[in-house]
Amino acid sequence: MSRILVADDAPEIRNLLKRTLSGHGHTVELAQDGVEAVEKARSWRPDLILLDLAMPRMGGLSACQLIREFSQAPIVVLSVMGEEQDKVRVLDAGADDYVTKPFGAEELMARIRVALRHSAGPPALAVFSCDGLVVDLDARRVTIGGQQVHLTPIEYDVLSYLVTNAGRVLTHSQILARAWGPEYVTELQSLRSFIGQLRKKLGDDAARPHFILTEPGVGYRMRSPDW
Amino acid sequence: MLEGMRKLSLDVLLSLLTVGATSLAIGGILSRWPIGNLSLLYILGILALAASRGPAAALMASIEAFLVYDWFFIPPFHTLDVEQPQEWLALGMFLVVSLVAGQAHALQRREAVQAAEHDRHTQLLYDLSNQLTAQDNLGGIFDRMLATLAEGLDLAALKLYVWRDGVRESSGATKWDRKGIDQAAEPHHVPCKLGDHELADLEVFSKAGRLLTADDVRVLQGFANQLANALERRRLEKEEQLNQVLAEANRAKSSLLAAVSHDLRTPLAAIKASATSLLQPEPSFDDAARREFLGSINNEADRLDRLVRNLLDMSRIESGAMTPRLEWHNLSEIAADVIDRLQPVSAGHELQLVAEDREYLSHVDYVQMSQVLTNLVDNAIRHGAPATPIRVQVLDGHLIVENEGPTLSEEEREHIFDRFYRGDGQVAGTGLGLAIAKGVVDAHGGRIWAENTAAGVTFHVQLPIVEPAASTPYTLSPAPSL
Repeated sequence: MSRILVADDAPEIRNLLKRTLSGHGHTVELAQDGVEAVEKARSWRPDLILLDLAMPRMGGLSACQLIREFSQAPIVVLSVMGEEQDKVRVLDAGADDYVTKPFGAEELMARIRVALRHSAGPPALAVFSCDGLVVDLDARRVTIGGQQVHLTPIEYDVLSYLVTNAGRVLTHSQILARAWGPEYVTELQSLRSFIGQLRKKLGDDAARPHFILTEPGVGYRMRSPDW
Repeated sequence: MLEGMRKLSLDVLLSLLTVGATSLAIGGILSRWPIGNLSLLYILGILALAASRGPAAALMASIEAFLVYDWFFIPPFHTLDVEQPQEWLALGMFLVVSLVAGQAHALQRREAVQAAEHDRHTQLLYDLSNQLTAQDNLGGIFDRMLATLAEGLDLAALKLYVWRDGVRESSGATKWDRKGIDQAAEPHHVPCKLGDHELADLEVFSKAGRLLTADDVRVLQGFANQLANALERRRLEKEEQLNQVLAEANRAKSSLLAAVSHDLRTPLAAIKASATSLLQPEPSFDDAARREFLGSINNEADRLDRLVRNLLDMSRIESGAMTPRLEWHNLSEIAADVIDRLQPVSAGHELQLVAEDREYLSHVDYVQMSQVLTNLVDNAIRHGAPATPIRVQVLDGHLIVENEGPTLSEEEREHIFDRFYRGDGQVAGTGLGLAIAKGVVDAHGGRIWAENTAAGVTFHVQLPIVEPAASTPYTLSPAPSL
């Protein structure tokens, strides 16, 4: 299994995560603040880092920036509700995903699984398939329950970006930069209506979307076939 | 009315005296030197009267002089007849000159007096305005200002009413001299307004027989306007102070909320993660791991309970509802109880109880005192160096909690018992625990303080020594043999 570094200032959370992750067969190392997290990320070379946002001495954001200078190990951020701005900043700084405390063990393990899979290299996936939605990335063909969906080139770009990162959160600015270019990263309103349109074409209910999930204040996440 | 009659009689008397004296002088001069027209001498006296007594006296003197001069000095003597027609002209000119000169002089004089009065009033207003702006505490100077104003305007009395929260309150008055006041007249009201808003008003009592002049009213209104400004300024200052206090309270509340939400979330996150780990079908944890998850749920629930209790205690202390239910308790028992409860969550610190063999009974609220000790030990766990012991020592009415680790800066020592104070921010916490400990110890009439030691920090709680009454249901341990 994998080597996972856990950085959190609360000893009870550290110990608990160690117990849970060990139970799933991972090897776990602990750090109690950002400084220690950076040191251990360098010396211990973990496969994945769980990083708390609010820590003494050095917070998760600075630690993430420093770690990204020498390591591409996926970073999953532990945060609380109300820290949306910080989440966006740390995701844009190179973190791969986040979970919001209090989180369930299942959700955490799913995030860790997705992050580890993505770090293993670009998905060799040629066809994405989830609950009737099929995106054939080679043929650039999208079907819902066998019915072809007609997408504009830019809609297809966004959808393929989402499905190749299925299960991972993508921030608004990441999607905007990818589909329209870096100068459009503040066009939040346009992105919202654009996603609305895309959901409609995929037969998704705007209030309870099934495929393109909203991460409030942060971005969007494509449903992953394995959860 | 009486005053007017008296003035008129005096004017008549003085004009007669002036004209008489001048006539005697003219008679004396004429008996030695035959000088032509000496009537001009009267003008001197008339000018003097005009200056001192005003236009009425000058007018009377002019007419009297005209008649007397004609009677005594124009032939034929002792008649009002005139021999030569040109004398009529001379007499007529004398009358006109004396009238015009007298009235003009009196008018000028009156204007000079009014100007001086005006200056004095302006000075008065200026002085009062200085007093108003210089003083922070307006209430303290109302009486003095009203006295100055009443004296300056020669008023019998002044009263000031200020509107406070919709109630017109008497806020100052001059000395009340019943005799000097015109009993018949209603007091004159002068509003102290700012725009349409009346902030206060003055009741003006004039002296008997003295009416308020337009200038008096002008001065009173000027003072009233300044007073309104000063009252408004004071109101704004108070509002500003209140706003600052509220902003401070708001900041404190926000920082409390942030800290509380962090402190609530950490145990919640631990409970949720433990519970969901146990609920997952895969992997199946062994018995030891399951017990650890359950133990962690149990401990974190206790932590949540302590936090909620602290929040409740804080609001009780703030609302003054923290009244200890004092009973005789053994402090060592409280200490042992707290240590047993906190040992499982002591993050690797060994909690040691240092108590003498004898029992010390103290007059305390058991629950509250155990909360004090819990908060002190919890604080020692948070701030102690990893894996160092924490000692709780019990003496007679004196609890000591000792840890090893960083010492307190001067600033920290000063503020460590303040609400929401969180040291250098390195360690999470609500900043409530020590504030509550102090609140409870204060409510017990005791004292709490922190000291740096060579190795770390020591907290002391000194409770007042109260001798148990004979009726106490507790039996005292025998005194130690010396």
